[in-house]
Amino acid sequence: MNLFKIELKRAIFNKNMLIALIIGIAIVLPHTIENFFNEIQYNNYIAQSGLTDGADLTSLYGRWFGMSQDFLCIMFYYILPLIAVYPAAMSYYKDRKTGYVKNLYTRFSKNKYLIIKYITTFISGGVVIAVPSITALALTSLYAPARIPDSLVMNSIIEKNMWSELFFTHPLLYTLGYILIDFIFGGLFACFAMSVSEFVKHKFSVFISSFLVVAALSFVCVQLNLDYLNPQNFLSPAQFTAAANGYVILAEALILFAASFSLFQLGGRINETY
Amino acid sequence: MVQIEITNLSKKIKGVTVLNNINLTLTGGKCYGLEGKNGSGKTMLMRAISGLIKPSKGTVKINDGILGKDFSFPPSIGVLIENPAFIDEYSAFKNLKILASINNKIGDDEIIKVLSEVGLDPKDKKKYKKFSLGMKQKLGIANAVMEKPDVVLLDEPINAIDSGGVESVRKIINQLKSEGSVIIVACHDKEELELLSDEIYTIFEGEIVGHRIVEKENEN
Repeated sequence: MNLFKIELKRAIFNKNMLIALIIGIAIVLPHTIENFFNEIQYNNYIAQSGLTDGADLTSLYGRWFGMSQDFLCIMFYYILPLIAVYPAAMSYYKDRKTGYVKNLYTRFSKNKYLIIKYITTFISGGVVIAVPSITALALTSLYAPARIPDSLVMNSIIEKNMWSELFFTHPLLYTLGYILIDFIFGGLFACFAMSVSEFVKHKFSVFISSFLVVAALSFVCVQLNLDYLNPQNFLSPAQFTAAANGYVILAEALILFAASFSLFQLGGRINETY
Repeated sequence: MVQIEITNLSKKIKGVTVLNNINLTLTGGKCYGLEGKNGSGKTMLMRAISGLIKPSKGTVKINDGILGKDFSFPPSIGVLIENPAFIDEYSAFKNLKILASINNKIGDDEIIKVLSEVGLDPKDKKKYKKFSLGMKQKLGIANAVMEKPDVVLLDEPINAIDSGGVESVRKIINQLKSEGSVIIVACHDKEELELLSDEIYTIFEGEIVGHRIVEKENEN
């Protein structure tokens, strides 16, 4: 338990986490600020035109960063694997390279340590993705009313989209559900890169490993017109190009978990420490 | 008292034999020196005893347990093998406190004591990344010995350490010996190795090629 606390603290409170959070928040912030001025402009228009009913059309859940389809939003979900990997997945690589793991292996069961490292890295990857999303949602809630979105205005989510009914009945649950999906995938991308570090010697290769897997999968999906399989599509709450499918999301999460966990545990047990 | 029995220990890495049929019996309360050229196998032998590498052949038995079978790592061991490594952003005290908290065998007082013994200021807030080589080495020694383990492996412990620090290392080793630990030291400084060790093994190309007992003048 002590080592879990130590590793969790190391995974969350580190310089790389700060850098990754700054990058993440820097991406969501311009959209949120621009949205603020749009909201004022819209409200002014409603007030000036005396269209009291029209004011009901805007909603926090349709306005926040996650539902946007602008360049920065697409970029956020595109580089999500890189942001997720940066804070903690690289720390295991560094600990092995510098020999810090010797201090731990000689005090604690290596097998248990590998499990602790996996869990703490997963949490770190999840946190670094969830925090910018939650920040964007919280900031948008300062000016946009948290009302149920109107399907006339919010036409990017239609009946065939995953959880569309939930979006138009309990939008907060939809939003939190999506942030949870992003948290899970952020964690899995971080763990996958960490597992790659068992077999790859170059830091940069470890850093881009998850991104490359997603980019390759995305390329194949686009070429074969199978966008519902594309993580870059289904990780966005707006479901950019195709309706997400819950079973596909679950299956890809399980595959990523199985691959990262088994590679990491196997590599960690086989690899010797020099 | 702890006893280590190394039997027919060999290790091959990528087809190259780095340890060849090592047979040793090491008993608690003694300091064993390892001498040999660079790449002769001293560090590799330490790695094998500490469980960091798995032997290709042979066994390392510590008391009644076989390393790699009954336990992955020796149950009570402190190591300084090659360069010390700690968390860059933390001070000496905080680094040791974190490592000590894993098993909770010792408290703050013992950490402060061991830091003072190796010649580091426990109250110094300087981050590890700003330490000099000597300070890093001292912290590595403090880490290896702070929990008073049964087996202590020190690879080139006096590297970059000033004369005061070397004297401290001698005192620490004598203290650990009196408490029954097995200490294994590798050192390129022949004179220092003789001062530290009770017995010295010479390693050449992964094999033990010599053994001598060091006559201690002050003990006669």
